[in-house]
Order: sequence, then C-alpha cells, then structure tokens
Amino acid sequence: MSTTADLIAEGRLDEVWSKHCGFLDLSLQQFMQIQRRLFDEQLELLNRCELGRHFFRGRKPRTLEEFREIAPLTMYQDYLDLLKPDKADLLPAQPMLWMRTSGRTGEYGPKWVPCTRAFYDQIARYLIGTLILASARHKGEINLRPGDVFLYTVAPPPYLSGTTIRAVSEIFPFRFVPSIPEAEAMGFQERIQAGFLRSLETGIDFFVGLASVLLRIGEAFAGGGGSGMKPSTQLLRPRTIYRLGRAMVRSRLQKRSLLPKDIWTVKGMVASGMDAQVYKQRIEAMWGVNPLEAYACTEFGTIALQAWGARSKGLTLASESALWEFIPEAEYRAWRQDPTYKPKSLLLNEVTPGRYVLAGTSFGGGPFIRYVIGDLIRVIALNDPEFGIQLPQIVMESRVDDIIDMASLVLLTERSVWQAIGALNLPTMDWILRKEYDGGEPFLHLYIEGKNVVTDGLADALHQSLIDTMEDYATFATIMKRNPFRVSSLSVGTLQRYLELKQAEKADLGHLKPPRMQPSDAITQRLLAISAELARNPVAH
Amino acid sequence: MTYVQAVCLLALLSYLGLLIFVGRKARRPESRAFLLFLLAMTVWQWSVTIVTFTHNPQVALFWYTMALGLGGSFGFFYALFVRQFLNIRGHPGVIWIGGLVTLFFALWTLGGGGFIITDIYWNPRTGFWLPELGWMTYPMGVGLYGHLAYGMAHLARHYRRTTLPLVRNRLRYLLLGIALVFAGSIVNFSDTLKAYPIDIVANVLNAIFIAYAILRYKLLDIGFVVKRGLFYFIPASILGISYYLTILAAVNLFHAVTGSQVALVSLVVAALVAVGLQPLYVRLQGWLDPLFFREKYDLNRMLARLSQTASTVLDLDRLTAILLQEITMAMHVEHAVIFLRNKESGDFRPVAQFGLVRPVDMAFRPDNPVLIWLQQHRGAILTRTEIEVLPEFKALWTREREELENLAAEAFVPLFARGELVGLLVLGPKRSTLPYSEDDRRALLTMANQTAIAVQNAWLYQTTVHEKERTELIINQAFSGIIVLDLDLVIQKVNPGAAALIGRPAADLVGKRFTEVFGLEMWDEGSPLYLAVQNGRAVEPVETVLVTADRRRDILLGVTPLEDGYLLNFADITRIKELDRLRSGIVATVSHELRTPLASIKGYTDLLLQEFEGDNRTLRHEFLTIINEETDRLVQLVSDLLDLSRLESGRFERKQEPLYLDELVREMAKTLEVQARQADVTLHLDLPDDLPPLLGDRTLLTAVVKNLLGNAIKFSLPGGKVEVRVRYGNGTVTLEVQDQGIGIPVEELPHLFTKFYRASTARKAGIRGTGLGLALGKEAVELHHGRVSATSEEGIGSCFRVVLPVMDGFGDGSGEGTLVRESQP
Repeated sequence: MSTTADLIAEGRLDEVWSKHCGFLDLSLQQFMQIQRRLFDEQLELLNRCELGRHFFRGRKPRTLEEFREIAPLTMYQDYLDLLKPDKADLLPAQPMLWMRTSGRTGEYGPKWVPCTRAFYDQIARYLIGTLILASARHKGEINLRPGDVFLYTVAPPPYLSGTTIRAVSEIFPFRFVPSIPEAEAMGFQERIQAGFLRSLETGIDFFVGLASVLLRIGEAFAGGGGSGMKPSTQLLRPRTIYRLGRAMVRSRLQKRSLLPKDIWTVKGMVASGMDAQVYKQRIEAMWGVNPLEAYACTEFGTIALQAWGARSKGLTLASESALWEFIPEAEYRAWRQDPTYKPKSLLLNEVTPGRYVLAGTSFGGGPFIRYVIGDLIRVIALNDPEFGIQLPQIVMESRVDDIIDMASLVLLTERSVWQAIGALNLPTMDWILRKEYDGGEPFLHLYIEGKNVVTDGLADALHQSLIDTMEDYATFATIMKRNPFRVSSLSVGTLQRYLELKQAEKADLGHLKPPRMQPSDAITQRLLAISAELARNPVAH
Repeated sequence: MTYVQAVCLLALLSYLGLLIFVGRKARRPESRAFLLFLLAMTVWQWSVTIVTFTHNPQVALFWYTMALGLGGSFGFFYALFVRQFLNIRGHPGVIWIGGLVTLFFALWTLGGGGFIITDIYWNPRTGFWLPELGWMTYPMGVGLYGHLAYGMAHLARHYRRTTLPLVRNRLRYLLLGIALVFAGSIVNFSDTLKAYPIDIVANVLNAIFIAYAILRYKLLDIGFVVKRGLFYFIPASILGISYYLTILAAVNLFHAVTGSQVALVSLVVAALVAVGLQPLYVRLQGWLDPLFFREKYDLNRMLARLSQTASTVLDLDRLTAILLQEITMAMHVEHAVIFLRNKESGDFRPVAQFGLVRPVDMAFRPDNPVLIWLQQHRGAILTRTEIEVLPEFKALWTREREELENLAAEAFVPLFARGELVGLLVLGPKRSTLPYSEDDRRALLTMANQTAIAVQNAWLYQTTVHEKERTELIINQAFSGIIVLDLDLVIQKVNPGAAALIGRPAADLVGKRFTEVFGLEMWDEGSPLYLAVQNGRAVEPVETVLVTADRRRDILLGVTPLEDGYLLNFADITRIKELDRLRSGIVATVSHELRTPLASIKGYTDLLLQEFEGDNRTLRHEFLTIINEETDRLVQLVSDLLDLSRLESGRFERKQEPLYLDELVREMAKTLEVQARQADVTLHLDLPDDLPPLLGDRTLLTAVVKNLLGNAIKFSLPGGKVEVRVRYGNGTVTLEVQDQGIGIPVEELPHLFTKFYRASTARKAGIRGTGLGLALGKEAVELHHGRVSATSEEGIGSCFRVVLPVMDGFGDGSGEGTLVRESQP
C-alpha cells in the first residue's frame, strides 16, 4: 500500500490531493451515495447491538427513512449509562481506545467517546487533508513534505486533538515539536512555550490552534514579549541565533516590530473557533499565512473544512464522518420545549440556505445516533462556483444554547457579535456578553478586556455595526428605538487569571475559559472580582 | 588498445547510450535533471577517453580542462536530480548556492583560471598524460563531493522512510551507484592510485546500476525506450557486421574485378546477402523478441492460448482454472480470484481462485463502489491505489475494506458480456512488486473481452447442469410418481416413485404406450389424461384407481400438458385411504368399546333405580358388581388410550430404575394366578436366578408382562399350559410367553401390534378386548430400546417374545456391574 509520503516522494501529487482533499470534488449525488451506503453498514451494526436496540426500542429499522422515523434525536445525557469503557460490548463495534472531552458542569462529568479503528484512520486522513488545504494556494497544490515540522501545542490524548496527532504520526513522518512523548508529558502552557522555543531552531511548517491563541501569540511577539518565552540555552544555538537575526533584519528593513512571520515561514495554519473568520486578516498579517478554518468535534472528528487557500466563504462537510441531518432552528426549539415533539430534519441534498442545528449518526461502528452536536450552523449557499465545489457551504454560528434572544426579534449569536466587532477594526480584545436586567428592562452587557481598547462610544459603535451587519438587529433597533448595549471593561489579564485559577482547581479543559455568551452569574461575579483585584494590585499579577 | 583505453571506451559508450535513451523521453523535471547529470558524465568519460588515446600534451591538457570544467558539474546535477526525483522543495537556497559555486568553478576552469591544472606529465606506467592538480581543485572537490553527499543523504533518508519495495529497489541501485562514483573519484587524490582507472570502473558500474534500475524497476519510466533501442540495435549490428564481412570476402575474392564489373558483382553479392541474411534477420528478431519483451511476449502467447481454449471449454471449473493459471503464470501474479454475479442476489461471489491458501469467503454487494466504478468506467481496470485515493471509495464499508485487505487485491478486471458486468477478475500483486503496466492492463482487458462470454456461458452451462441435476434429484427422490408422455402418449420418462407404484422397473415402462401399462380405463372419457389431451389445459389432481398387473392402488392423479407431451403426476394414497378406513374402524371400535360397558352400567343402574331387585340383596350385589366391573373396564380402556397417546407422542416421562425381569414375571404370575385357575390354565415359569438387571420404568414393563401373560391365559383353551421363559444373552434379556390357545392367522401377525386391531380368531371366539394392549406393549418396549415379536399357528397356539437391553455395565458378561437385589422371591 502506498502511503501519502510515498505518493509525494513519487511525485503522484494528484493522487495525494484526491486521497485527502477529494471530498471537495464530490457531486451532491456522490456525497449522498457515500452517506447512504455507509449508513447501511452502520444500521446493520446498530441493529445487532444493545445500544441500537436501546434507542430503537426493540424495533429494527431497515431503511434510512425508517431509521429517521424510529430513532430519537439524542444528546450526550442519553448515553451516560452506555458509553463506559467497561461496557464496550454494548457498542456497535469494539473501540480501539477511548477519547474524552469536557462535559457539562452540574449535569455530567467528562464525556467519554469510543474511538474505533475506522474513526482513528479517518481523523488522521482528514488532518493531513486539512494541512494540505491550509498550505495550498491553488487546487491540487501539495506543499506537504515528509519531515515537515508540526508544532504540537494542542491538548494531548485522550483529547481528540492529541489522539489525532498520534494517528497522523502513524501514517505520515512529521517532525513534531516538541516530540509526541515530550508534549504528552507537559502541561498546557509548558507545551506551548517549549514548542515555540524549539521551533526557533527547527522552524514551523504547520500549526493548529484556536484563532484567538494564534493571534495572542502574534501580538506577544509584536509587543516584544516573545510569546512569553523564558530565557533558555536554546536561544544560544546557532540556528536559533541565525533565525532570530534574520527576523530582526527583516523587521528592521520594514521598519516595524518583530512579527512571527519574520521568524517562521509557516506553510499552513489551521484555526478553529467562532472568531477565526474575524481574526483571519490579523493572523495573516502576523504569521504571513491565512489560517484555514476547520470544524471538528470529539464525537465525529472532522465535520467540515474550508477550501484551499482559506478564502472560501463557507466550509464543506466531510462525507464519511457521519450521516448529517439538518434540523431547522425552529424545529429544534420546538423539540427542546416539548421532548415528545418529533422535529423534522433534512439531509444535505434537501437543505436550503438557512440556520440549522446539526445532528449526526456515526459511521463505521461509532455509537452516536441522531446526535445533536449542539452547534447552530448556517447553510450560506448550495455550492461554491468560485472554488468549483458542488456541495452546500456552511458556517458555524454558535453553540445552539448560547444564543441571546432580544425581544424575540433578534437572536444574537457569538458569530454575529464577532462580525460586528470585526467590522469596527478594534484592537484585539476579549469579551463576554450577557443579557442582564435593569429594573425589569433587559440590556446587553458587554464586558471587554484589551490593552488599548477604549470603551467610550463603543456601545454606540457596536450598536451601529450590528445594524449594518445584521438585518434582524436593524429591525429590532427600529422597533425598540434604543441601544441595548452597555460596555464595562475588565482589567487586563482578568481572563488569563481566571484561566490560571481554573487550572489550579484542576478544572476540565473545556471549562478553563468562561463561556463567551451568557456566562452564569457566578462566573461573571468571579471575573469581576478578579478584575477588581487586578485593578488594585496589577503588579501582583 | 590498452585495458585502460578499453575501460574508458566502455564507460563512454555506457553513458552515451544512457544519454541517448534518457534524452528521448526526458519530459519530466527529474528526467531532465538526470539528463544533465548523464551529459556531464559523458563529457567526463569522453574527455578521459581522448586523453588515454592522445600523445599530444596540449590535446590532453585541453580535454582534462573540459573534464574538470564541464564534467565536474555532474555532482551538482546529481543533487538537482535527487531533489526533483524525491520532490524536495525546501531550502531552495542550497541548490542556488550550489549552482553558483559550480558555475564559478566551471567558468574559472574553462576560462583558464590558475591553480586548477598546474602541469601535465607523461606517465610511462599508464601510457597516457596525467595532470598535476592545483590547490583550487580542493575547494572545487568540496563542492563536487558536497553535492554528491547531499544527494546520497537524501536518497538514504528516503530509502529508510519509504515502505514501497519498488521505490526501495530504485533507490538502492541509485544509492549504490553514486556511492561507487563517490568512492572511485576520491581515489584520484592519491598519486599512486590515480594511475589506475578505478574511478572509470566505478563510473561504468554506476551506469550499469542505473540501466538496471531503469529496466528492472522502471526508474524514470524509460525502460521501454531502452529496450526498444537495444532491440533494434543488436540485430542491426549483427547484420551490419555480416554485410561488412561478406563484402570484405567478396572484395578479396574478386580483387581483379574493375569498372562496371564491380557494380555487377556488388549486385550479385547484395542479392545473395539479402536472400541469405533475411531469414537470419527474421530468426534473430524471433530470438530477441521474447528476450527483450519477455512479458509482452508471454502476454501475447497467453492471449493466443486463451482465445483458442476459452470458447471450447464449457466446464466452468476447468475454464476458470485455465484462465487463472494462464494469467498468474504469464504475468507473474501471486494470486488471482474470479468472482461471478449471482443472478438472484446480484452479489458477485468467488467461483475460482489460484495461489491463495484459504478459500476466499467474501462477496461484492451489487452497490459496492468497486462494481459501480467498473460499470461506469468501461474498458478500464481498477487498481488498489485508485481505491485508496478516489473519493467515491469512501463509501466502502469497514468490513469490505478489511476483506479487500485480506484479499491483497492489486487490480480488478471487469468481465463484461453482452454489455453487462457479469464477473470480476481480482489479481494479487506481481511477484516483481512492480505495478501493473500499461501493457499488462491492455492484455488483461483483451483477455477479459475474449473470455467474459466464455466464462458466462460456462457459468450458465454449469448453472443449467446444476439446475438439471437438482430437478432430476427432486424427481427421483419424490415419493409421488412422475411420468412424462410424448404427444402420442408413449412413455418417455418414469421416476423411481412411479416405477415403485406401478411395480415394474422404469426401463420396462419407457417406450410403451400409456394404455398398455395402465389399461384402457385410464383413457376413458372424463379421465384426467383424456381431459388434458382434449382441452390442452392442466387437470387438477383427482382421486382414481390404478390397476396394475398384481395390485390395485388408490392414487391422486394430475395431468399437465407440456410443449411436447404430458406430465402425469400421481401420488399413492392407498395408505391414506386405508388409514381413513382404519380411523373409521377405530371410531367404531372405541364407540363400541365405550358403549358396551356404558349400556351395561346404564341398564343395571336403571334396574337399581326401579328397585327391580326388591329386597334381594344378592341380586343387588350382583348388579353393583357388574356396574363396578364395567366401570373398571371403562377406566382401563381410557387409561390405555391415554398411555398409548402419551407414548406415541413422546410425552411419556419415563422413571428409570434397575429392574429384574424375573421378579416382574413372578409378581405378575402371582397376580394372575386366580385368573389362570379360573380358566383352567397352568402357568409354568422358567426363570434363571442370575439375570442381570434392566434399566426401565417399572409401571410400563409391569404392564407389558401383565398384558402378555393375561392374553396368554385369556386366549388359552381350558386345560392348556402357558410357558413363561426368561433368557439372558448378548447383552439382552428375552421374555417368551407361549400358550396353547386359539392362535392367530399368520397373515394377521403384521397387524397384531396396531392399535385396536383384534385377531379374527379372537373376534370369532367372542373374547372381549380393546385391541390396545399389544400396541401399548410395543410402544413401551420400544421406549426401552427393545423389540417385540410374535409367532403363531392357528389352533396350535402363539408365542410372544420381548427382547430388552440390560443395564449398562452388565451387558458384556464381564460381571463388572454389581447390583444388590433388595429381595429374592
């Protein structure tokens, strides 16, 4: 069997592209054929296992249509008694390992997700595809080479990201910096610091991370902080000195402060998170490469990817990760209010532009049945003629439960707020948004944290920006005739301090940061307390 | 010519040859880079060769300068080739700097810059001029060896990383060759060793390795060009030499010939040569063809053989075996499997395999992406790589992927017949580890086109044969009779069922007219056959009577008109009719047996109610006794019926315990003693003392013994004797009860153990009974894995024999089994 590295070495680059990025070339009919066929296999497996019998309530669906009729929509709570390593016999296929991700505070602990061999191979194949797309400027371009340096800054196994890194290392000879055993033994901050420090010598070819993290590191360099790297003998190595010297010359020649792109010539960068779209230009300015947007989750691995060059407006769904069902937002809300209600769902070939909640059914022996991922997505177009993609294009709007409803006229999502902030071209900042009440009157309280952010007039600017960028909000503003925003600033370092405190409390990875939309009263109070403490004693931090 | 000159010439020719062949197909970047490397090497060899032949120091100096100036760039071009070959894109600065350094030294050398060749001197030992190298050659050498080392390092790194045997082989020879060049040229820095052409020998070996990698492992994909070149070059050379020698001989022979005679002689010689050498040329081509194009030659021969045999073989197993053997042998394939479509399910299932140890146990579903791809891409072969890389194959199931992995399938060849995909030839990897070439693909497709119809025909033939065999089996094994008549009502086929029914062998019946066998009454108006012939429609089965030579049978006969005759399908229902009659008899018997005591009970009860007896207590007692006896009789009858029903249905729960048959007989003889005395019958027991035990149900076996003894007494004449014997032998105990009674007609003996059957002698003698006792006894004995039989002679008496197996451990006569009798009579 030819590995990707072999194909690259033999110059069979078309085949490499087809193998990892060919999903972008599928027609809608081919996409649905793949979905239906893999579903047939999954249905056969489900009908034979206890988990399937549990959700089918003793019935045996034979077709996709019967399945959608019989099987209920599920959420992780429905699997609490089923997804346990000691109950693997209940599953459609034996897992090769278990992954975990953060659970819901107060409801359940960490989520455990079984990983089958098929899933393991799939996540590896898609990560390579993601990196190829991230480094390609045009269709078919392969800039991936054996020995490329992959900066390992993501969470280690049993998290999805670390598991994917392990899976990739088995099929492609990346040079991971730090090495996999080292990175897996390090803490979160330590891993990032060690990675950047060593990459001063090795360079960076590929880097995967949250958009905000990519931006923050860039800003740290621009501010002369060097991403918080501590002095080390590593800095005395000839290649490091050469790299830093070259970077200094470059920045001096351009009469600006040092930026990551002066130090590293990154081939491809992958960004995830709602803010990826907003920060893209700034990340590119700092890193010299446009980050590719990726949408993934522990339950299904890769869900969707942006096309090559990272310029496409939408993301294209992966055909073999799961059977995708699109629940119209109103149907979803009706189901949440009345669990006995059977919401309608659409398959990819039935969708029209609009907002949906995505649900997936695992393939290849995975356990999830019509599982509501919890993300609100928008289908923005049924194809992308510019990139020659014949499949519907999606963008991620927000977590479905993180929406702030104002007078039933507008549903503010994290993405819509990011877009409004992005349009203002403000300095980099972090924020949280809450719907609060003043004498029974609701208002939107935006708490911001940023070095050079001026709060005066920000509420009006944001209000106007939302009117300009969001039709529903404009209607809301016309009817309500008031600006619902109030802005408060948090001391610089508040969110970082919060993160440190949560780390010290050994909080789960998913709960290290406060939710950006509608955090609880307790979290908000804690943030305000930290902010006040930092305002009193900034040096202590 | 000195050996040095010969080696140099050989090296020159080698590189010149490679240069020509590679140059003809240098379209890809790596081929062009390799061409530049070969060009530099050729210049080097050319220069050195001239130096070894010249005696002029100026000429030698010039060509040494050329060798160093132009030929010395081979290291750089090799590094460039390695980068292109391995698709290395990083650090382009390395190659730019390397190029500039090489260019600088080339210009410096060719421009006459100093410190390169400082002097030149004649070496009498080698017999050619040698250069005195200046200090500039050292940095120049660093550049050259640096480039070679760079190339070698990357080749070695890639060799270590790659998993493909083919790539490893290519890299192995490249690496080995360039390592030799590296080592060989370093020798030139030794004043002693540079006198020997070690570097040139190394260069020759490098050329050989490269040529081998090109031919054997398709390096740069120019193997065909090289082969084609050699293919024409060798016979042309032989012919050229032959022409030369012939003309030389002619000139020597006819040296006196002049003027126009020369033309004449030349014409004659040319004609002779053409006539004489043409067959030689053809034969040469014939030898070279399989030698240089072995695979293609083998493939063509395979196709020729298959086209001859495929259409003539109808046996699927043989055809597929031939096909698989031919393909695996001609293409050097490790294994191959043929899948054919199953018409009912649409699945493609394996029908033949070759080279695999385990039988292939997998099937392609009709919606398998492999089949869909082959149907969509007619005239194409699917390879494993395509399955790995094309997005439509993401639809493969995990299980299907594993099956393909286990099958180690490298190529899938479609078998199309009449525009329909009917089969699939799955080939494993080639023994050479090379991928399937274009020639292979063409040959496989030609083979598929030639053989698909033949395979399908054979498949259909086999299916038909199987179907026919199946039908034959069904007909032959059918209990019912099947007879096929032609349109003249002559018997064409008779199945064993029919022959058995008629009571004559099938061979006796075939060819006879229907009425000859069955009689004219079967051809009466209104008979099923008559109606079928008249109406041309099938006649539903009707009951009728078949009279043959020696018997008469009830049958159910249906007739179906066929295209060329009639199908008679008949079932023997004699037994069913008998059973029906028997059932009616049973109902009558049971009714009678129930009614008689009931009538008696009713009558005597009425009398008692009417106080008919008055004060006569004796009479009342007699009435009550009769009622009691008749009630007992009813209870016994119902009990027997229930026991029999349970035994027959297998629902009887046997309570097993060790029993001694002699004890049972003694007990029962004692019980029946009064009855025997009343009937004036003497019971004589012949029971041995050392009988082994039986394992059985006491109640059942007691009933058996009681029944046999009771019958013997009941059917004996007054003054008669009943002999009861028990014997042990061969692991069984036998009970014989022999009476001197009325006996049973011999022809009735087979029915004796049928329920409700009563012997005619008993009925005539007016001896009451239900006809259930012996049936019950037989079921009970058989439940104990025993057997029961009877012999009799009317008016003399009867003998009933029961054989029962002894308990395990007592039957072999070894006496190993021990059981203590609780009581001895």
